Amino acid sequence: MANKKSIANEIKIQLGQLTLNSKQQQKLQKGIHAVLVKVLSAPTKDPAPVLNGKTATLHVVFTGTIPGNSELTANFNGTEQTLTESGDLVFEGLITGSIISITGSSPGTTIVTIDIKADPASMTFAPGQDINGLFIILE
Amino acid sequence: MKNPCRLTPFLLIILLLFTLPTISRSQVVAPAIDSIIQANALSSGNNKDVLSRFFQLAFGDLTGPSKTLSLTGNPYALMLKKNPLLSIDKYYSRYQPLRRSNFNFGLKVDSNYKFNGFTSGLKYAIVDQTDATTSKFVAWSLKKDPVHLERKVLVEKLRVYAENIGDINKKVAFVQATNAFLQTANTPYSKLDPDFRQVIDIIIQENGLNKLGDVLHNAPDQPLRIHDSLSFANLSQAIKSDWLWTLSVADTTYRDKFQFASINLRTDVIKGLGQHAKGQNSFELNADMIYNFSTDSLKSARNLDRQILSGEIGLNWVVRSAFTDKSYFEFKLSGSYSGIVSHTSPFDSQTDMITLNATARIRVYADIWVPVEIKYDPNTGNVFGLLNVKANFTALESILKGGKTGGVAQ
Repeated sequence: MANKKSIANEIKIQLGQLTLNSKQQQKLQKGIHAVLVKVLSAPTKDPAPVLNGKTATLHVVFTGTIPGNSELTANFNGTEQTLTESGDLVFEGLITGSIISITGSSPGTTIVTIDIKADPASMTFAPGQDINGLFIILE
Repeated sequence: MKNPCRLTPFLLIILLLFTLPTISRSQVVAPAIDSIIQANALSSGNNKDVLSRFFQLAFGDLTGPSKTLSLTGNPYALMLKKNPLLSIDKYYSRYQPLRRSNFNFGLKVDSNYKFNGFTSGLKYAIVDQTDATTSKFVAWSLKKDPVHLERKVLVEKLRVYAENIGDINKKVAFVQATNAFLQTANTPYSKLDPDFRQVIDIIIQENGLNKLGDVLHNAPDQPLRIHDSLSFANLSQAIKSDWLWTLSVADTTYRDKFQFASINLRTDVIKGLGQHAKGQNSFELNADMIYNFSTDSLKSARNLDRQILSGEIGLNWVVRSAFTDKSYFEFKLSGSYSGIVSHTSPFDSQTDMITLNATARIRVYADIWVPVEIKYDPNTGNVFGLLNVKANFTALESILKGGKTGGVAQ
C-alpha cells in the first residue's frame, strides 16, 4: 500500500545525460510542483449547455450603399448581434412564439429574410427608413 | 434659327430606339435600382450635365452647322441593369470607380445632316460629395438621430412585452400591429388600436422617449414611414450642395478616317451655395477649364498642333417645385475666356476671346431638358446661339409605362 501511495504523489522524470546538484533538483521540483498545483486545481469546465429549440438565420442584404454605412441589430431573448454590412445572423434555441427584434438604419435598401417559418417571412426597408420590426417564430 | 421642326421625327425615332431595350430589361431589375435613381432625383440639370448617374441622350447645337448626337452613360448603371445583385453593398463599394465614371460616344452631322465624324469620351469624378448613398455624413446622421435612438428602445420594449403574451394568436396579432405601426405608410399613431396605443404610450412615458413622443403627438396622422421619408429627403438635400469635381477627356474623329480631329482635356467643378429648404430656389457655382488640341490648318498634314485654353465660371440659378423640390427651370450666367496657346493661324482674327454667356435649361417633361445657350462677345458684338436637348432613359421609360414620373426621374 505504501508503495502505491508513493506512486500516487510522485513523478519520475528521466533526465538522460543531465546531472543536477541538490540545489538544482530542489529548484526543478519546486517549479514542477507549482505548475502542477495550478493545472490540477483549475476548475473543470462545464460541458456546453445543449440548446433546445430551433436555429434561425436572418439573411440581411443592404443594397445601394457601401459597407459600414448601414447597421442592423437583431435581439433574441436579450442576446444582441449586429451587422454593418450584408451577412447572416444566427440565433439558436428558438421555439414557437419566440420573437426576434431588428433595429437599425441604412441609406440604402435593406432586405431581411428569416429561414424558418415566421411572421413575417421577410421585411424590406426603403433608403433612410428606420429599420424596426419583430419576427415571431411559428414552428 | 434653322427649321428645328425637321428634326422632330429624327429625335423621336432615336429616343425610342435607345429607350425600348431599357424597358424590356427593366422587368427584372430589383427595386433597389429605383432607390439609387431616387437618390439623384433632386439634382439640378446642370449637375447632371457634369456627371450622369445613369444615361443621358443629348442632341447638341441643333440649329448650328455642327450638330451632335451623343449618349452619355454610367458603366455601373449599365452593369446594374444586367445584374441587379451588383447593388449589394460589397459590390457597390467595389465598383465605386465605375459608379464615378461616365463614358460618352456619339456622332456629328453637318447642317445637311451628313455624317461628319465620331465623338467619344471618358469622365471621372475625383470628388463627389453629393452622393447620399455613400455619404458618411448621411449614414452618421441616420445612426445618431435622436428619434431613431428612441425607436430602438421602443422596439426592444415591444419585443419584451410581446414575449410575455401567453396566447400565440394574440402574440402574432401584436407583432403584426407593431410591424404595421413601425413600417407602413398607412398606419399612423392616430389610427392605432386603443389598447396597442396605450402600450406605446406607457413605454414612451416610462422610458422618457420624449423626442419620439413629440413626433407621435405633434403629428398623430403622419405614419412613421412618412416621417422617415421626409427626414431622409432633408438629409439627402443637405449634401446636394456639396462638391462635385470631374476630369474628362473627349475626342472627335474625321469623317473619312478613324483619326483624331480634336482632343479635349477638361475639368469641371460644381458647388451649391448655402443650404436651401425643400422647394426653395438655390444657386450653384459652376466652373470648367478646357485644353483643346485641334488641327493647325497651316499645315498640310492632319495634326493636333493648334492648342486652345478656355475656361468658364458662372452662377446657376435653380428654380425648384415647392412640392417635389425638383428643379424645373435653371438659368446660368457665366463669363468665359478662350485663348490660343500655340500655332496661331493668320486666319484667326483674334487670339483671345472673352464672352458673356447665358444658359436657360427648361425641364419639358420628367427629365427631358432643353438647354438654350446664348453667347455674347463684347469685343465684336457677335451673338451665338446653341439649342440642345438632353434626356435620360429612365425618364423615358416612365413616360412609356404610363406617365409615372414621381420617383424614377434621374
